[in-house]
Amino acid sequence: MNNQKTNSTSEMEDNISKLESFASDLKVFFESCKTSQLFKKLPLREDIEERKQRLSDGHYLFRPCGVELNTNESNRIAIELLDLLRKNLSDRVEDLNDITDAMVQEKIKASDLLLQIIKNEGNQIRKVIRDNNLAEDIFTFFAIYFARPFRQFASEYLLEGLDKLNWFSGYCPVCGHWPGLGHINSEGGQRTLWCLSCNSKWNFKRTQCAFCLNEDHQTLQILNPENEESYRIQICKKCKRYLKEVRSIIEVKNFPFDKYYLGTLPLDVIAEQKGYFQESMLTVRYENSEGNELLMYRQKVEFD
Amino acid sequence: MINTDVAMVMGSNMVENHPIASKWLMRAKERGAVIINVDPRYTRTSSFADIYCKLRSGTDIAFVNGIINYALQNGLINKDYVLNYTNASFLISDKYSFHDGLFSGYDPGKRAYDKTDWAYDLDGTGNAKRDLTLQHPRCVYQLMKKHFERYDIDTVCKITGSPRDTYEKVCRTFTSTWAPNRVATWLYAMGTTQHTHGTQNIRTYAILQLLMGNVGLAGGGINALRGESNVQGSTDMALLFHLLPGYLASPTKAEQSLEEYKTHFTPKTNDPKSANWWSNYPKYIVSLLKAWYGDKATSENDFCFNYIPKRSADYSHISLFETMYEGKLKGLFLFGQNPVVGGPNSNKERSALEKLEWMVAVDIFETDTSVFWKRPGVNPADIQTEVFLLPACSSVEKEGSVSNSGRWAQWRYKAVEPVGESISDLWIIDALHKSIKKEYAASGVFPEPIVNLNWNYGNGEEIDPHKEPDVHMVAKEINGYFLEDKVVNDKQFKKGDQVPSFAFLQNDGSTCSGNWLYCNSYPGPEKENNNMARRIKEDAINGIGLYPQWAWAWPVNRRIIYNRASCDINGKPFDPKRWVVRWNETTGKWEGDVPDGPWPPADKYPFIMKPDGHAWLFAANLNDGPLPEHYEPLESPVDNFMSSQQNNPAIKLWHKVNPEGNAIGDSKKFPIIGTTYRVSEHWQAGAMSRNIPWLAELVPDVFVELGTDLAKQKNIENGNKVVIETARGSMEAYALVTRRFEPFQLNGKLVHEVGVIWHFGYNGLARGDSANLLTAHIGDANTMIPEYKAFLCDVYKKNGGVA
Amino acid sequence: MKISRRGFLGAAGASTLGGAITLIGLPKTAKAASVPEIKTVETTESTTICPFCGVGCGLIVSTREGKVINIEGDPDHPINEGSLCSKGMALFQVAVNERRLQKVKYRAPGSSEWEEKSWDWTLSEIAKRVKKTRDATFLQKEDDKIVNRTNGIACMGGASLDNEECYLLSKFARSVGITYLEHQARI
Repeated sequence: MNNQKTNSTSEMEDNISKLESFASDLKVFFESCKTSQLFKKLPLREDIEERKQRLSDGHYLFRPCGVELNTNESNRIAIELLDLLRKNLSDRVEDLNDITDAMVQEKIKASDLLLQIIKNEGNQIRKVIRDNNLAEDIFTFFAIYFARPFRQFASEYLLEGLDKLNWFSGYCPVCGHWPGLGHINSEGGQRTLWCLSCNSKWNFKRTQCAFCLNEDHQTLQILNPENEESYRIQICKKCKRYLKEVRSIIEVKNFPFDKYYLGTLPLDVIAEQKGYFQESMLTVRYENSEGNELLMYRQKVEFD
Repeated sequence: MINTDVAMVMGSNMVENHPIASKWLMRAKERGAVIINVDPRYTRTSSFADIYCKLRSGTDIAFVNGIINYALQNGLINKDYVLNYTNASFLISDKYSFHDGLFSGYDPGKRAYDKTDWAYDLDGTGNAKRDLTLQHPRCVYQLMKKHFERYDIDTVCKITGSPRDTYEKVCRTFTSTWAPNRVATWLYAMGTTQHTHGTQNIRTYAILQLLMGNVGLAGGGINALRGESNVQGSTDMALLFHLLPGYLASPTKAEQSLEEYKTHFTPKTNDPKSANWWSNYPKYIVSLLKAWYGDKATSENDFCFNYIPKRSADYSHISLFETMYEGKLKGLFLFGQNPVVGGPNSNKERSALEKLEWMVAVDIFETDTSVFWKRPGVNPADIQTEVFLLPACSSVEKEGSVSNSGRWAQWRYKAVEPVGESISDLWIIDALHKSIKKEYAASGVFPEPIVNLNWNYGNGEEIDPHKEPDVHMVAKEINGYFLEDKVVNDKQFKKGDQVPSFAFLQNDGSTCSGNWLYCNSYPGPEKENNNMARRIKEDAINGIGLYPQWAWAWPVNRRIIYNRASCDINGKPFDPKRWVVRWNETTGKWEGDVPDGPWPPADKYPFIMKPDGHAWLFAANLNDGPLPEHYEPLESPVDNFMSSQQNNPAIKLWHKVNPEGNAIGDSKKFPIIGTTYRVSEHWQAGAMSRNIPWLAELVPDVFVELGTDLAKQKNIENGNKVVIETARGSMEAYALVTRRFEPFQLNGKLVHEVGVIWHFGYNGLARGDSANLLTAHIGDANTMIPEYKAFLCDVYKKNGGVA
Repeated sequence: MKISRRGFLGAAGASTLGGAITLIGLPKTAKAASVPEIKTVETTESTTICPFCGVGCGLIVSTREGKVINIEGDPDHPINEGSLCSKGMALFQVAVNERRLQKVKYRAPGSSEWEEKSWDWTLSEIAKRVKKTRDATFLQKEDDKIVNRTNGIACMGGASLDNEECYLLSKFARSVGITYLEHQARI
């Protein structure tokens, strides 16, 4: 962080505005993907009543088996994304070039990788990283954003016709991943959780840990940097996980989640410094979307 | 509320005083509901309503009786419901009659009725005779038709001063909900209850809603909007002289033994289809006594029944202050109450306080009552009362539960430590008991009820401000637990197990329960078992807004009471689109809300709290009559148009019993009707809101609202300082001149009405005169609630006299 | 039920969306540990129910270092869904208000002033008076019938006390023999 101290503007706001171009590039990128035909075979989607029932039962909607991706689009998107990242993450160009090379040389097939990501095959992906001697952190970053246009499309497809979600879990109702950011409405105080992987949003109770459903106010705390009331972290002393939150006057439907997600990185730093963590985005806790995950979840799983 | 088709807001200004409840009214309106508002003044609620109808304060019975008549005359009733679920078909004794404002059995000397004249005509088996064709001249239905036919539209409007067209529209709109697929809700508050005939006001709502078949349905019911965060709970816990927790009767002198008590109060029925739930009375009283006296309460000593003080008279608020005025009450405890502002006839009540030897006031701010000894106009040197003002902590500084208007008991948490040396009322009451018990350790008059009290909430015998009683232990006692190993309904319980629900409470002393209604609120030993602390947002499968896992409601988490009445006798909902419960043939169980008993549909009548299982259109238990009849408020500008019985014949005339300080005014000296009401920004007697800077700034002064005509007549302009005077006292206020109070045309006589907000007192950040300087010691015939809503006054400019 | 953390974490240090730390201008190998500690404040958010009318709206109370810093409507409460009326919105000024009673006060007979007293003194003095009045006014029998009551002491309140407090007050008052037991529900 630079050493300039401005008393009137928030440092967090400064950070966020620094990312304006990166965020804008990502936005353009995601928009452009919307016009492509990403799926050769769409994910399974039941009628509205069945989907409502699945949500009521706590089963997230996206099931990747049977899905077929458009290979050409996969390749094109991978390369475009890598170009975008090279432009904006100038001091990681070397690592990004390594990834590009591996893909161009077909040591990593884009569409295969994409399927692995969508199926949350974290161990496979890590093997790919090791086998190709790549930087894990930047690869993970690339992987999530690579799969994003596909998952986002799936989200809009699967949520079509469902306006009020009868969903009370902390994980994403579409792809089952943990939320990347929480949005708190300045007026009214409702919290909306946002999924980085697929851009889905859902309402979730303020006074509860999304990760373990803990509601004890003595073990749930809010941390925020001094003098930054709108940027905060909900920490759970029971499961040691955390969630970044932004309190904003901008409504959910207009809120630039990606920009704020990246711009609030200092909050991730704080959380880590205090001993809190988040699970890897390459996997999802409840892999079997038909399984008894809701039961496990509601039993308020303890973690070591 | 969101489910309703018609919302009748009468006796309440809910948009002003229950703004968040009004949010649901607005949602209902968005879904097509029609909102009707009836009020002497055009209020915030009126501006939001679809139909506003004006009525003179104190004439609610005439108003609603007219709607009942409209329904009966036009056959707009839910026939199935009325026939099967109410006592419409029951025959009444031939001793019953009604003439010129009086029912049979009246003793003018006692000002009381012999209610046996109104009893059912019984058959050989001890059940009421019935005529299911509803034709018999002595069946309730026919008696009602005759009783209500005098309330035709013209008569009603003469009494109430309502505009005829609007009134007829109200009748038509409301009675449209007779249809099984249409429902109306009735929302009321103090505008209904604070009259000498307040109980009968509510009776009119009950009768009408039953005829419409709206009780027990989603978006139906008769719904009191409670005024304090826990007045529901405080009433459930029986902080009233005539009750014990759970609406059990407090013993009277006539019950010298537990057996006598059980016999007097346990109702009986010979009808096998009547669940007669109060037949469980003995289980509840014994469990309560065990909670209070523990091991000391045994079957040999009647479970310490005689330790409970027995009443011989009415000890309600007015009576309390009358007794205090006579110097007979020496000591007074006040827990968060401010009677010098909130009680009627402030002059008399304030003087009464001077006769006390000691007062203990427990509150979070210095209340007007706690400084009555230095109030304007008195010399403290003349007042010998010792006053102890104990600092209580605020709601965010302690943990516990409160019950709202929907009977939801909601748990809330301690956010911070109490400020300074303030502390929870729980600690204070615990400390008081321990201190008094210590005093009685050596000697004293009849110490047993104090020293034998079962009282252990985990903080030891010594009194230490750093050791609070464990509120969870108290909550668990209220729920109740087993005092010995026992098998009930094939389930094995061990000593110390929490009782799962009141169906498991026992008559033999093996269970204790501080309040049977709350049995099921805390059915297990851990904090996780505290049902009142649940915060699960999911609605029930019928999607009508029950939220069955958010907190906990009594009884046994039933959210809509009398819900069996929402189905026909086959268990099919009258309105399948908004079903509350329904019978599932396959499973042999009810679905939806917790049903009023698990029995199959036709096995038991739905109104399980009545001995005959039916809702009472004809209610023979009330002091002022089995059917509602219009009487004028005690102070009224006109004669009773319905009969020569000017006022409620069963009210206690305090001005005759104790004339001092109880003067009654007549319309020659006091020609204007006076009423009292509230504003959104202040709350009750103002001890909290008038000490909160933001609120004090919003409404800093007391005002009297009057209409433009009257203001012109009296040469009063908006903002002038005026005096309002009654036979009992006078007060000053700013005049708020609006078009919201219009005069009433009452059978040719033009009468004005004014309203004063009553939150103000001489202490606090925002100060002003109390409206209750104007009101009287006169109360309802059944409840003794004061008639704050209708009295006679005069208004004139200060320092200017009358125009 | 315990689940191994390692099963869900990637390699050490990759748990967050790695590398993005560089976005804020740190050298590429910097890990979280080497970033100077950012000063934070810790806030607790607990839930409560409004103490004013009987609708029963939910609120969230934010406290920091033992002080209330904010009170807002509870957005997840099914009744008010985050909204509050002017009284609920002013609840902060009940918690934080210099006019709040913080010490026991006593007014002697004929005095025109309050004196501050301790809890110990106060409780013992009140108990003495209760005993004195109760002993003087207690009626064990009336017309030869057991009544076991004192008509010399009255107890009023309180509709904003918690259920558990009301229950204990009800129990306590009857144990003393008080029959003049009333509160706001009556009026």
